[in-house]
Formats: sequence, structure tokens, C-alpha cells
Amino acid sequence: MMLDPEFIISALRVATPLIIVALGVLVAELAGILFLCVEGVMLCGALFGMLGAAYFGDPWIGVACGLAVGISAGLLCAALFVWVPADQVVIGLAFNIAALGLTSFVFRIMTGVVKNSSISMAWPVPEWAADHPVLVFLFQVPPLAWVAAGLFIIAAYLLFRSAPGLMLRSVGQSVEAATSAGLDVLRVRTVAMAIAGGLAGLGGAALTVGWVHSFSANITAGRGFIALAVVYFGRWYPGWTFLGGLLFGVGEVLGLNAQVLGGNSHLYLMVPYILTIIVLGMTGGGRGPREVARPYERD
Amino acid sequence: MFDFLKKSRHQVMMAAAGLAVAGSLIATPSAAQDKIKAAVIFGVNNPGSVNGWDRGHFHGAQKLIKEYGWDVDIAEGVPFPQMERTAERYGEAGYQVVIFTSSGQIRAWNAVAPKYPKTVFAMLSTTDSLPKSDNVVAYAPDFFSYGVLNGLVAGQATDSKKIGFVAGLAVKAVEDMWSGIVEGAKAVAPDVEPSYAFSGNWTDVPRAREVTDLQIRRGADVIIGNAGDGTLGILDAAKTSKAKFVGYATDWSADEPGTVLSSVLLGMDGWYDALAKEVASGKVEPKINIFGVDSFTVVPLNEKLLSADRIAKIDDSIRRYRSGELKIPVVRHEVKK
Repeated sequence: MMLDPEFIISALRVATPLIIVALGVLVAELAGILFLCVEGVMLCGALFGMLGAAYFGDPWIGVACGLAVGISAGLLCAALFVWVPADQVVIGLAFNIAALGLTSFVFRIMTGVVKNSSISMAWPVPEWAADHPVLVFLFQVPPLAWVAAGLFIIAAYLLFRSAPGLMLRSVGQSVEAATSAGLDVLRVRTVAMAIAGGLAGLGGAALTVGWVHSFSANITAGRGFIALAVVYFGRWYPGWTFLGGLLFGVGEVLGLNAQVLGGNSHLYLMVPYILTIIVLGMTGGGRGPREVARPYERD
Repeated sequence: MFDFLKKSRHQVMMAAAGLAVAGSLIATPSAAQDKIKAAVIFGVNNPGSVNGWDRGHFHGAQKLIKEYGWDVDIAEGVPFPQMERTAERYGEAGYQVVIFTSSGQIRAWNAVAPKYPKTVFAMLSTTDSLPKSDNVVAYAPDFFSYGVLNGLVAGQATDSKKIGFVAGLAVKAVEDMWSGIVEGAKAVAPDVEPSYAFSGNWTDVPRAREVTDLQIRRGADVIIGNAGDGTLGILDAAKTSKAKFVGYATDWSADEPGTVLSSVLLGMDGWYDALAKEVASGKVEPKINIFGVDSFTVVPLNEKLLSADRIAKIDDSIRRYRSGELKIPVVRHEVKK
């Protein structure tokens, strides 16, 4: 069953938003910020991505809108977490609740626009490729799954093989050491939050524009938090985080498959959530960036 | 001259405003006395946003306002633990009618109705029993016969001989509807294989989409969706895979004209009409009013998706079922909970 191309495509559809958002969480956490408001930022990206796609009639513009809103939300979070600096847990939770209210309110006003906006991003299989199963499969892979894979390769390189990545990670490991090395912690963290927010918004747009082609209140349904768990699962390494995202996608689709094949539907639907608990339990001893959630105030 | 006109226009406007205020002072008390004060309680947010059950109720509430002149408050997004307190507050405030819109609210209905005998507590959803009180009434559809209509349509519209039913949760109404779908399809196409799946809640659009996608991959080419907001995902999966979709409760044709084969309307406006008339007559009886097959409407089938012959056959089977010529026994098919 798991080698069935349709199963793999389905798992990629489910995993794509998680992977993109998890990448955002990874960037924030490596810079020493607990990105608890990721659920809210993802929700904003999901709504404004859908609105953009509906308004401009182009899903890629919708994705760009999700990204832009995510960057704005990330900068807002940076203002609160980095510049104030406020408690990251309290503000993160408050931001999520505020985002739920805001998106529900905007959606209510814009319901008519969102309703008629089911524009697919899927690439049609060209005639010359129709006889080759592998090519057909590659064309069926959601476009944003390719984007997610590309982003991870770039992120893995930048975070662990470049000077800016080293700066970001050093800020997350020890602000004292980073400051004594002449780094501007506030500026590095602000940039990190803009990137993290952008990726969370992009992940939200991947959910609505790239996957279900609609929006409803609280459509993310905890997927931002699952992305957080994926990063913990991946022990703050891009490769493992990518695999963790895929694993969660496979887990959810496996649960749905098992349900259709017979058995107790509720037990199967628990699969991804049980997976989350197991993963968090397993990675409890994992060492994340030391400065995560610690507010930093410049002397 | 212009100053004079400006001045006189100002004076006329002031006089008109004064008259309006005086008129409203005189008219308001009697109008308020005439108006029935009612509340409609929803568990979901923004109930009018998505087609289906909640939009049907939302339209019903609008009907009470527009056609019957009721003064209606809408409480939306009320979580289950707050349901009882919300209904109590309306009772305490002297509302004449409180309307519950989901069978998930039955516990609150049972608890609150006996405490406020001057308020009518109406359940506009499936229920087997009434609270022990005289101020209650229920209006509920016969979900078995509703399912039969769906089964008659889907059973004869499928080419693959497989139909899929995707619902949010396995509640009694869904189980009754599923039983009707199975029996309806069997009556007109014995070789058709219906299957069901659940998305696990009434709100998760992505999950409902993936469950539907699985049904389609297993061969279903006609999908009946009843998953609340999640039905948007069901419709999207049907559209992407070029399957046909039968809409639940309200008319879905405008959402995806190339995918929606038909919708089977629950006729929820009729429940609100019945309630309004009963309240107006002052004779609300503690009774469960069942709305059967005659109250349901099958929206004309999409001619772009089915041949005229098949549409005629489906229409004929619906007519025969309604008239009693086509007898379909009530058989319960349990779903795994």
C-alpha cells in the first residue's frame, strides 16, 4: 500500500505544509526564539493566501500573499519577542488566539470572495509524458512539495554551511558569546523571525491554496503545533526535520487508509497525534538551542 | 437665495428627524411587544458561510426575522460546556423562544427547559425523546428516507458501481442517513457497492478531503458528503478527481457547477415555518414533529454530468418512492463507532 503512487502523493500533500512550517520553526528556534505563535501565523497565511488567490485569480500570487503576511506577522512577533522583549510563551499563546479571532472575522466579511476560488495549482501531465509512469508521478507531485524540498536544501546549506547560518545558530546557543563576537543579537533574531514567519505563512498558504482550495475558521487545526513537534523530532537538524514532516504525512494518510480498509475509525484517526506524543517523549532528552525562550535585553 | 434654500432644507430635515424620533418613541413600545424575542444557538462559528446543515439553520433564522418579524439573536461558536449556561441566560432574560440547532445540544435542552416554563425550547434536530416539560417541541427530519433519496440518485448515477459517503462523525443522524443510502441504492441498483468513511469531526477540511480522495481511489465515482465545514474538502476532492458530488441539506450547485450532480434539500425553512406558526397560535405542544420524504427536495440533476435517460430514470424512481409505489424497507446498517 505504501508504495502505491497515489498513497505517496497523498502523503506529500499532507506533509508539504508541515515541512514548510517546520522549517520556519527550525529557523526561529536556532536563533533562540520559541516560535509558539506559529499556529496563528500559519492561520494568517492560510487565509490571506486564499484571499490573494481568489482576488487575483492566480494561486501563485496567493502563495506570495501568504508569504508576505507571514513575514509581516513574523516581524510583529519579533517586535514583541526581541525588541520589547515579552514572555515568548504568553505572547505566543495570545497571538494564536488573536489570530484565530482575526482570521474568523476577516473570513466572515470576505466569505463571498473565498467561496468561488477553487483554483488548482496542479500541473497537467503533458502528452509526451503520459506514457511514462515515473514522469506522470513526478507531474502529480504537488508543486509546493517541490518548493518545500528546495527550501530545505537551501536552508540546510545556509544554516550549517554558511556564515549567516553560523551567526544565527550562535545567537541561539549563547547570546553572551555572540555579543562578545560582535554580533547584533536583536538584528539577527529580527531577520530570523521574518524568515520564520514567512515560512509559516507560506505553509498556511500551502494548506489552503495548494491543498484544499478553500478556507474555514481554524483550518490549521493544530498543524502549526505538530510542525513544532516535527522540529523536536528532527532534533533541530534540517534533514531530520524534513524526514519528520514526511513521517507525519505518512502517519496521517496511513490512519485514513486504515479507516477506509476497515476497523475503528476513531482509533485510526488518533494515529498522527499518538505519533506526536511518542515523538515528543522520544526526543525529551534532545538538546535544543540553549537560548530558546530566554528573553534577551541589550545592556 | 441659495442660503435660503440651504436654511429651509436644514429646517425640513430637522423637522423630519424630529418626527422620526417622535414616531419611533410612539411606535417602538408596541412594536417591541408584538415582536417575538428568540435566540438560535449554534455550536459553529459563522454558520452561514458554508453550505449544509448550519447554513440551512442560518437561513431559517433569517426567515423568522424577515417573514415573521421576530427579533432573533444568534449565538454562534458556543462550545458544548457553555451550551447549558447560554440557554439559561436566554431563559433568564425572558426570551420567548430558544432554538437548539444540533442533537449535540440535547443535554442542555433537557437541563434548561424545565427551569424556564415561560420560554419555548425548540430542538430543530434529530432527537428520540423530549425533556420532561410542557414548553418544548422538536422538529426533526427522517434521515432514513433522506438517505434513501441520496441512495436513489447516487445508485443510478454511478458508472463504477461504487458510491462513497463521507461524514464528520458517526452520530445517529449519520447512521440513519447511511442506512437510507444503502437501501435506496440497493433498491434501484443491487450491484452497487456503497462505502462510508469519517473525517473525525465537522470542521477539518483537509482531512475530509483526504478521506474522500481515498474513497475515490477505491473506485467511488459518486460522493455524498455530510461533514459540516469539512464538506468543502469533500467537494474539492470530488472536483479534482472528476467524481460527481451529491450535496447535503442545502443547494450546492453554485459552489462547483461542474461537479455537483444534485443536492437533496432538507427543507429546513419548513421547520422554522412550523415553529413560527405554532408559537403564533400559542399552542406549542411537547411533541417530536418528524419531517419525512415529502419535505425533502431533490434539486434537478445536472444535465452536463448525466444523460437525459438516466436523469429520467432517477426522477422516476424518486417519484415512485414518494408515492409509495417503490417500497423500501427500513433496515438499519450500523457503522463502526
